[in-house]
Amino acid sequence: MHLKSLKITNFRKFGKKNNVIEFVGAKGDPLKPGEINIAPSTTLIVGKNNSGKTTVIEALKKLITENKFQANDFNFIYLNSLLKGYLKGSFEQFPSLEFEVQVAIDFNSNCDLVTNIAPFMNIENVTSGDKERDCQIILKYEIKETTKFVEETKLLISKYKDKSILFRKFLEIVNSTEFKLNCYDSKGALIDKNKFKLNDLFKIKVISANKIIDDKSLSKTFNRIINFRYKAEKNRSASSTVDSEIEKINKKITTSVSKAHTKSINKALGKIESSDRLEVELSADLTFDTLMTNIIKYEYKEGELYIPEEQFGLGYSSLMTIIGELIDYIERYPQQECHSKVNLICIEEPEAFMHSQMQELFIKHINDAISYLIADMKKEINSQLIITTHSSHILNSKIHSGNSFNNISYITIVDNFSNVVNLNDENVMEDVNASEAPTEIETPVETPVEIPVETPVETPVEKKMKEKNLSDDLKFLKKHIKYKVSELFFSDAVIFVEGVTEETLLSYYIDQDEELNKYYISIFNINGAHGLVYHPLIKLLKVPTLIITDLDIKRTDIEKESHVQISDLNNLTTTNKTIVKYNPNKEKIDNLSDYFEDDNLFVVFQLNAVEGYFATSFEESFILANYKNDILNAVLEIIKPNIYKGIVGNPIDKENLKEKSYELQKKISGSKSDFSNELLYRIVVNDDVEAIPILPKYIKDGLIWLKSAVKNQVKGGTES
Amino acid sequence: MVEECSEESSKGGHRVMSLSEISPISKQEELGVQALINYSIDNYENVVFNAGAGSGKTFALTESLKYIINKYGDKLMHHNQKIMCITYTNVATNEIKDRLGNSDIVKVSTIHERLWALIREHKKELVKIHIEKLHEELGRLRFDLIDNAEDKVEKRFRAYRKLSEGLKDAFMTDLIASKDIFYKYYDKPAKEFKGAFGESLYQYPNILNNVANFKKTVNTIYKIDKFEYCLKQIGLGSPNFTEVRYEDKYNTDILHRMLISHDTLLEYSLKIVKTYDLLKRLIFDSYPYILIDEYQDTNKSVIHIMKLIDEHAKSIQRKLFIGYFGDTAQNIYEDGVGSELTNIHPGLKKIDKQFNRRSHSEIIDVINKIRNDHIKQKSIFADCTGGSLKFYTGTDEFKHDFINKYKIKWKINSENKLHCLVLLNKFVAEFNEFPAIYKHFSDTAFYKKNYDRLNTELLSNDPSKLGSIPSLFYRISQFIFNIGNSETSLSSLIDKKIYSKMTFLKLKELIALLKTIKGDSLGEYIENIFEKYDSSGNSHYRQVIAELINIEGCTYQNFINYLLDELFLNVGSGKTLDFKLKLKDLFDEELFSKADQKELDEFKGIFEKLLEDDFFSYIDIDEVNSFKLKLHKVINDDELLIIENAGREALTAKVDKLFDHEIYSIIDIDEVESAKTKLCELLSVDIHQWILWYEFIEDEQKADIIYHTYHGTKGAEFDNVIIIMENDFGRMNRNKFSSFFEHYNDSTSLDMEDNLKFNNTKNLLYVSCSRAIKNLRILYLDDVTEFKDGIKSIFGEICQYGRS
Repeated sequence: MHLKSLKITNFRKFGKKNNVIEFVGAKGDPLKPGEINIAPSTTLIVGKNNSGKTTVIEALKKLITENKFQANDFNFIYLNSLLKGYLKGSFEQFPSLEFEVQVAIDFNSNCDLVTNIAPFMNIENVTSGDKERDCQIILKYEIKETTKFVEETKLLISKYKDKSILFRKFLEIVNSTEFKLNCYDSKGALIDKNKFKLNDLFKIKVISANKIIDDKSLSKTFNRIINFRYKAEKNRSASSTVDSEIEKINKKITTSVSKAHTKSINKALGKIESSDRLEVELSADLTFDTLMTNIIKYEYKEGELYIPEEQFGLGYSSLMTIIGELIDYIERYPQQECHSKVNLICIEEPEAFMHSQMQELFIKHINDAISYLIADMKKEINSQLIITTHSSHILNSKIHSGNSFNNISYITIVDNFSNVVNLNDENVMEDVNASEAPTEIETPVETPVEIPVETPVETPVEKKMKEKNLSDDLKFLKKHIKYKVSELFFSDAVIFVEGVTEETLLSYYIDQDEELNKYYISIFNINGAHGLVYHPLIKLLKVPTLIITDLDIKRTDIEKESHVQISDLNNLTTTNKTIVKYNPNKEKIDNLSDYFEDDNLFVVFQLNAVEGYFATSFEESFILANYKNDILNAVLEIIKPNIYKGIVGNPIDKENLKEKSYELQKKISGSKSDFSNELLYRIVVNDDVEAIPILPKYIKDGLIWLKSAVKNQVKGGTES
Repeated sequence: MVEECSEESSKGGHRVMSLSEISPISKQEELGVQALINYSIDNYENVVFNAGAGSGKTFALTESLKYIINKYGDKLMHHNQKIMCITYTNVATNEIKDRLGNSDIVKVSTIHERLWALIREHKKELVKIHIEKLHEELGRLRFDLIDNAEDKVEKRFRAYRKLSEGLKDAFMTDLIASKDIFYKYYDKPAKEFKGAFGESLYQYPNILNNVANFKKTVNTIYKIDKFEYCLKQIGLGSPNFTEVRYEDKYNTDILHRMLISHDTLLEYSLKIVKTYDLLKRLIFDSYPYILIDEYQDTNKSVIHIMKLIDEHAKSIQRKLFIGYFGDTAQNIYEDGVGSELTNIHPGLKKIDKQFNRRSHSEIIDVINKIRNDHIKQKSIFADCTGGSLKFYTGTDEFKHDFINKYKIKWKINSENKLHCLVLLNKFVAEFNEFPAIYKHFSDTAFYKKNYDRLNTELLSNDPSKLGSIPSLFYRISQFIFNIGNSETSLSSLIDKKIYSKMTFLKLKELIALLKTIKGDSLGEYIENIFEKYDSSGNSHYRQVIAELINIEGCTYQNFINYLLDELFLNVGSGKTLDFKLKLKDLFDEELFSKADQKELDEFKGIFEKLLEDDFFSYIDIDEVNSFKLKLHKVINDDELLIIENAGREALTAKVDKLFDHEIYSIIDIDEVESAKTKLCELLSVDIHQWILWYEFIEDEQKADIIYHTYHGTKGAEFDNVIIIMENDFGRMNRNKFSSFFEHYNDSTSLDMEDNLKFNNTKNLLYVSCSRAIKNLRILYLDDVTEFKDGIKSIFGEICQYGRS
């Protein structure tokens, strides 16, 4: 039994769509006995600041332990739309927060109890063939007295005409209105409070890394660990040497102290009050706990030197504290054969104070510590671990320790609402557009008799090949993403380029752009075919992404040799994989009329001829666009003096550059890095704005799109 | 001669928008009525709000609730006080909750639910009342067993009474010790039964001569024993005996197991409220506002409770508002307080509402004439015409034809349904396709004796009002329905105390096991339930079944014994009554159609006297013979010319045949045998019929034409209504409607009893006719010549349907 998903409606930044967070169960993939790997059974919630990560934990905490929300927990856009309805006189709907909890149940389990979930199960749940089935719990935070609320709102509407004052006053009403949390089953029947309480089914523990650190937290943690192990020890062997030692000490101290001081104290007391009535007895009261906290001292050794706890790295303290809290939780967890509860442990932003290396290994550290500490306890911990983070390193750590994209929830802001994307190995690979094809293939499998002749049926070999390709792609993505995670998950926008020149130069141009330089824009240099592997993931993440690719006109070897300039695309094809993917006519490029746009992706390339010619690469179009430019000419002359001279001729005629643009770009293709560095250097040292080369039109177009896309995206994030 | 009434070509469907505009004056008037109620609320004057059918009574009730919430809600919340709102059915509870929206201050519920919530915590006091009740019951049983000189009773216990005191005690002890044998052979033929006891009862002379009387004696002894045991356990403070239990789903008194029925709950509530002032205080301090919907059908005990609370509140100057919302003219249940309200609870301020928000004016005019009192409704809408109403006479054979005609005429479909109100329970059962269930229930001794209860106890749309045996069958049918429906929630199938310690695997096994229960008839199904109960060894299964069946000793044998007891054997006079009715039928059949009224009356007097005074006890052949002789004498009495005309010989033959058939042929057969046969018939009814019956109770019929009893439509409203009517309301209520129409124009001459009947019929007719929003037809299946004036005064023209 585990929490499978939580749908949050109208709570804070969550709206009515894309608001489901999925969670992974307590038991991940089967492991070798004795091995512990928490990564596959950990749910990671990632997202930028202010996107709604904490809201998820907050929602769980409020639902399970507090049962109380405030007016500012309601989504304001939602409240405003309600108010608009009231102004029109329609009092059909009333403010309510809705939470839909899915609990997955394993009906073959003779270990989990139905006790707390039964009111939400129906016969179908119990009798259907699947091993695991879901139960739905719907929680609504609803108004207690609808009549009163309606009356007050009506009064308000008649009193205030100004919209903004009205809304403010409306908020006051919502704030002063009494609400209560009601429970419904999937059919909408109210479940009586006597039958079900959410905190009977769920237990939650929230560890906020940045709130638990103080000077003594390290020793407190150690105390906890020792205490835990001490008690475990004690359970096994009846008599403990420490205990008997403590007893001895207590006796000794008591004897010596009372001999010396009891008399004098009682005498002093006797002067105030008759000693018949009152007498003092002194005795030592040393226990294992007081021994640990006050008497045992931790000394930390670094090399040869002892260093005090306060000087210890905060990151280290923080990690140890988290481990301590986990141990504490495990200790409190009752030893029992059956489970009737779902246990949630949430760690909020553990990256605080940790340096990047430690973040990178975070999950491994926790794994190691816990498996070492509880290995000999044989305690079955039926808990789900939920970590929220905005650290790319922890995200990396999760992807690589678990070797999968599964169970990562990415939260971002779209149209002013929190938007949740639940990643897994399937959807990061599966293109939304391409997904139609496999479903067509599946149909004949279900009804083998009626295989339509037209549909090409995949042969087993083909299918295997396809699967192999997919798993190779996944492997590639997992390895490759390691260095790119922060760009993808945490930037405001991403630009994909296919070469070092674009990468170098674009950074400069974006930096110069007054609008774009305010955003965190990552430039990703990756060869087109490999870049395609990223597209499904990018679409899921909804980051505005500009893909700058090349027309890559297909030429014969002879054409290549003779450096033919192309001014007409008739009957021509492209070798560019990205264009082939997005172009409705695939390879054929004679009818290209526009760039390609697909949700948050925008693909640009040399759509239009420049100076009469279609460029095949960035360099060529840059040359075509700037053939008259002095800086460009100077750079070309420096890196390829002979070729340059051969082309421009003597006297220098820059017009020749555009007539030989293809030849030129081919010649410099081996020294692109020199070319771009030299260009960048000259541009940077130049003070005359007018003298700087311009970007080719298709890149300018791309940046214009990016500006508007990123503005829309980020606006939501900062305003609400 | 066929004489069709002219009707406009097409009147069906929702063609014309009407009943949509409330005129400003009416609106103002309606607000004025509400203001009167509000004024009374402000001043804590208890009111009785009377408003006819469709007047927006529920509207007024919810407006009053809203008024209290808005004006006094904060104060109530501060003191953690609530408003009590009592409804008649669960359906009405949901209706009010819907209209009100979410509310914590208002507690809407049926009276039983509220009363139980109020008194259940007073465990000690309830147990005290329970002890009193047990002593009362014990006293009654002992009186019957030893002293009651009434003929019937004396005969029953004669053999026991003749034993010496010492033997009496020994007999008691012996029989209590041989309970096993008694129940094992309980449903076996007399010979076998006697054989089972054999010589062990030798020392008690004549005790086994009559098996039926023996069983009654022993049953009484067992009851006494159980009650005494219960009292002892209460005294010892044994677990399970520390509190009285009441559960909504069981409408049965199992007093010795501390379980009480709906009626006993009312009885206990009244007692406890009467006795403890503190409880009264607790009620009005927690609920300073009490509003009761449909007061007219509310049990008198409830009104007594309210009066007691009210008096006590006044005596200590506490403020309390009680509002009764209802309509005396809609009192159709006998235990309802009706017009007696103001006698029981005096000092109520009367507020009337004269509007109708439901029907078209054509219908309103007629229902005003039916109720014929100070309330003369008018429609609140300006556009209130467009309805239609006609009264037809016709014969039974044409009723289907009649209904079909209107099905077409009114364009009946799933969006525009036709509701037929049928007088006879038998027809309702037939139309809803569970005729056998009705037939066999009405054939049981218990429901023969309590024929008038069958309507509510078998056909009520409110499951909590079903009789104890129908309620048991209802639970089983519901279980069958639920287990076959994948959407059934588990907690409605399995009690929390059973599932709370189960694992998912165990639950899966349990459901799988429950799903394997099979049977074509309900009897087979139940037999299978118990087979599995014995064989499966699944303890959870056993708990579920015990909870479901809720009888002592969970075996099939005990189940059958229980049914025999409740439906047949404990009822004594059931069979006798049945025979009386058959005899009456015989002498009623058109036999005297041409007779002179005076002669007829004379004969009826003699006949009734014969039935009353000289009737026989079923089990005594001598008595039967002597009665038969007396009857022959009457038939052959020369002075009774009336019989001469009917044909003495033919009549004698008929009477003899009846005796042969109904008495002599079975008098030798053990009572148990015939009861078993009848029970067997009931249990053999196809399971499908039980499901249809269940759907009928749940009001979930899917057809376009829906059939109701007159009683079953309370509070509902329908666009199209056809009422099928006739003189009699079953054989217990001969001439119910004909006599109403006969006296409609002059009811002053009626004596008290007849007047009561007259009013009851009037109310039933009023409730039925006022269901219609738009179209209403009445088809009367008997000849109306004798009382056509009454009908004309109400419905106007009488049309003829079919051949005359």
